[in-house]
Amino acid sequence: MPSVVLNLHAHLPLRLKKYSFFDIGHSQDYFDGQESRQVLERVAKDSYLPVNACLLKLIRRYRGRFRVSCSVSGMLLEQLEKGQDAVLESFRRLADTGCVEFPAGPWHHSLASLFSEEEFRGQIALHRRKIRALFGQVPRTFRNTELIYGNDVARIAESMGFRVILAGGEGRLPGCDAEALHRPARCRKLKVLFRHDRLSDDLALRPAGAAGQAPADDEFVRRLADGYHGDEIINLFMDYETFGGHGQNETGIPGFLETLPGVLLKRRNWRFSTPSGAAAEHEPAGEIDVPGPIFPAGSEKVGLTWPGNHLQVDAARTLYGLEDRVRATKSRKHIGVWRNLQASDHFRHMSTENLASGAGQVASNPFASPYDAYIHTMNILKDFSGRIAGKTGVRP
Amino acid sequence: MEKREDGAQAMQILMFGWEFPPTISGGLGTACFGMTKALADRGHRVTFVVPSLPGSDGPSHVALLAASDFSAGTEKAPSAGITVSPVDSPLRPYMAEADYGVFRKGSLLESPGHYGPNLLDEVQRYGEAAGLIARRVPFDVIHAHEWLSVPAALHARRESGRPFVFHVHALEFDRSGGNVNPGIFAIERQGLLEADRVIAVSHFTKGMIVERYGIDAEKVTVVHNAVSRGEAATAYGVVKAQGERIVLFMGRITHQKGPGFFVEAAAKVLSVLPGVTFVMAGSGDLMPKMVERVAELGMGSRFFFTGFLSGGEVERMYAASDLYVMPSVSEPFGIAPLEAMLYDVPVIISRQSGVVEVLHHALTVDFWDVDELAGKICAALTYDALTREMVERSREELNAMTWDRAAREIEEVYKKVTGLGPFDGTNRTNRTNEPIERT
Repeated sequence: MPSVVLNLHAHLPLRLKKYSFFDIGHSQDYFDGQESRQVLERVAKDSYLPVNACLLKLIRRYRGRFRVSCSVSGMLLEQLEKGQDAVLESFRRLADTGCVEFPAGPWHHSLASLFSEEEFRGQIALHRRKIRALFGQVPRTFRNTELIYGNDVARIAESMGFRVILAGGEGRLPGCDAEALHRPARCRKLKVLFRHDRLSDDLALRPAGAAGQAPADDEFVRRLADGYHGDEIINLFMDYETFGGHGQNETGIPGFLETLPGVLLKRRNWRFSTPSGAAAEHEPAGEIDVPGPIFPAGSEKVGLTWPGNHLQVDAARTLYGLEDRVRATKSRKHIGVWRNLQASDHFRHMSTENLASGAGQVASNPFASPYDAYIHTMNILKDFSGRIAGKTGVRP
Repeated sequence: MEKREDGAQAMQILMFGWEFPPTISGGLGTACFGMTKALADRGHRVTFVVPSLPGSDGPSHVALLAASDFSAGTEKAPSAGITVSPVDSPLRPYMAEADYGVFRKGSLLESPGHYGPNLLDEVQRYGEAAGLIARRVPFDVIHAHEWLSVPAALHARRESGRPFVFHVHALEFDRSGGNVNPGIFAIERQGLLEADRVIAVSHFTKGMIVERYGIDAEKVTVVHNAVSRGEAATAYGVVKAQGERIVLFMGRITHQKGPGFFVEAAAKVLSVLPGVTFVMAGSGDLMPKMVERVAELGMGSRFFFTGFLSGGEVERMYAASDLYVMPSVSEPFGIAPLEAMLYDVPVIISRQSGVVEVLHHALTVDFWDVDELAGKICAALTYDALTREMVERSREELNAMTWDRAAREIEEVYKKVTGLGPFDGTNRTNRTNEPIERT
């Protein structure tokens, strides 16, 4: 019986201010609250709300046979609580159906797994508590920022009590079967699900047809349905912004989110599972050993892989180099600022790949160029570093 | 038409250029040299017509090529396919007219950035003289650079009936900062209207041609300039005090280049990074004003004027610099940042320049935003990873920016206007090497 594990991921960072070199020592205003709110409003309207409505409809229509997991970063939850009650409520209603699982991850959508285990664990714990408080479920599924995976990530996830981990980068692991479930090396209970890159990308990038019912989509889904007959697990991991934003049809939802579950569930042998559900029903096909951290396929194209370019490496080193001093301040405010600066988006905006073709300029980059993104971030870090050293108002 | 070695057809190009203005701006001469060399290397024959310098003895083209030599890097000799035709003897009859020679000399040599109306006369006369050249040499297409060559190109077309391609490197709007000389504007507009095809050095310039001169966008092709890497780039062991950091402005000190913004930004930078050295290299009508302003801001000990620099000094200046700034108010292309990058110097360029279209690993600013400019100068001098990334990525980018690429694009334009392409030897016409009209 083939299963589809659909994971939708939602995250928005707090936008950084354009922070000039001359602001250093004078302004502690690092984040652009207004801009962040506007972006959130737009994405909520174009994507979060319509997608959640669609999910709820599917769950009701198929009476529990349609299941899905929603990864919502802590940073986003915090922003939703401060003014997007409708979105938060739509997530709650999904949670109430019992058909939606909320995986946990690093609260700040950070790259902490690459730099600091202590910080990594801290952010996961925060996120887990929040999900429990908001949605009444204890997350058993872990999803790292950008689906970064490795033995260390798996070890930490298992030691924190997670049972399933969502990962990317299957294409970089020769012999790894993305359509099966695996046991991470040296783990006893944890199981790993790898994103099905080809199908996820095919679906995400499909041009949306009119009225959400393009014949091409049906054709694609039929071929998909005919292709599987065994116990395969098809892990479709994608961003909420795949729906809405660019390439949307009139309803704001690409045809496949509405059509795919219907076509598949009409066939008795298909089902949709949450990650935990899939893990409970399947035994691992084998062990998977990934010594270093790996990024999902295509992450070079979106501008984030590690080690990154000089800008990304330098900014990350500077940021995480402050860890001990930040903790030593024992100041909630300083630790909070430091963590908000960790959002992976800030590093993604520093990508200098494909600038000539314009591809590096991801739509969400608030800065004119990766160099500007780096400059503003470094200016902020310079000021912040001066402040935690207790030299407020004095140039470090 | 001839067959090239690879079987493709070679063209004969009659090109009208202009000598270097005797200041450091040099972009046009550099570009013409790189372009003609690449065209010659591709098998075409270029007859390059320049008005000879008044008062200079001997063939001025030697001086021209020698001059472009240093800017273009290692090229020591003109390529086989280039013939330089100085137009001096045809000009002599006109020079006999009263005061003309004096005017000419004054206008061309002493104040090249500030052309007087006598220059217009001279350009017309030069154009007529150039028509005679068109009778002497065979060619398939006329390629004229800048407004100065327009009358010459039009004469040549009248003589020969061959198509005329007008290559725009700068417009009167860029040079004058809005204070347009109507005579020059008229010649420019006439050239743009009458040309069979227009080549602009950037989309920035194409936009101006379309908007301000009312030219059909379809008629204008953008061909970006290139830059050739010279050996000299690494040959200079520069002696600098340890930790000394130099921020360079190099170019004509005129309104168009935005020197005032550089001075104001320098003052801001020095208020937080007092050890930085600023250098303004070049000369121009705004220089006295800049010197005064620097003195007024009390930063004379950190801000230096070199005056006009020539070949080797230019290279040494680039090599010694840590950052190159081009805050131009309006810059059709701006080849200098590319040259700076050849010396691994990171650059800050104004968004009001054509070169931003091809240079992606540079910091950009709006020229009027002194705060942003100063902030970015500070950042570039403070964060090493920033300059490292820019320099490394620019090297890759510069390698792809060749004159051969530009020459291919120019070939495409020739193809359109002559109907001779594709240059693969399959589409021969009955044109011959013989000039058609003799009178």
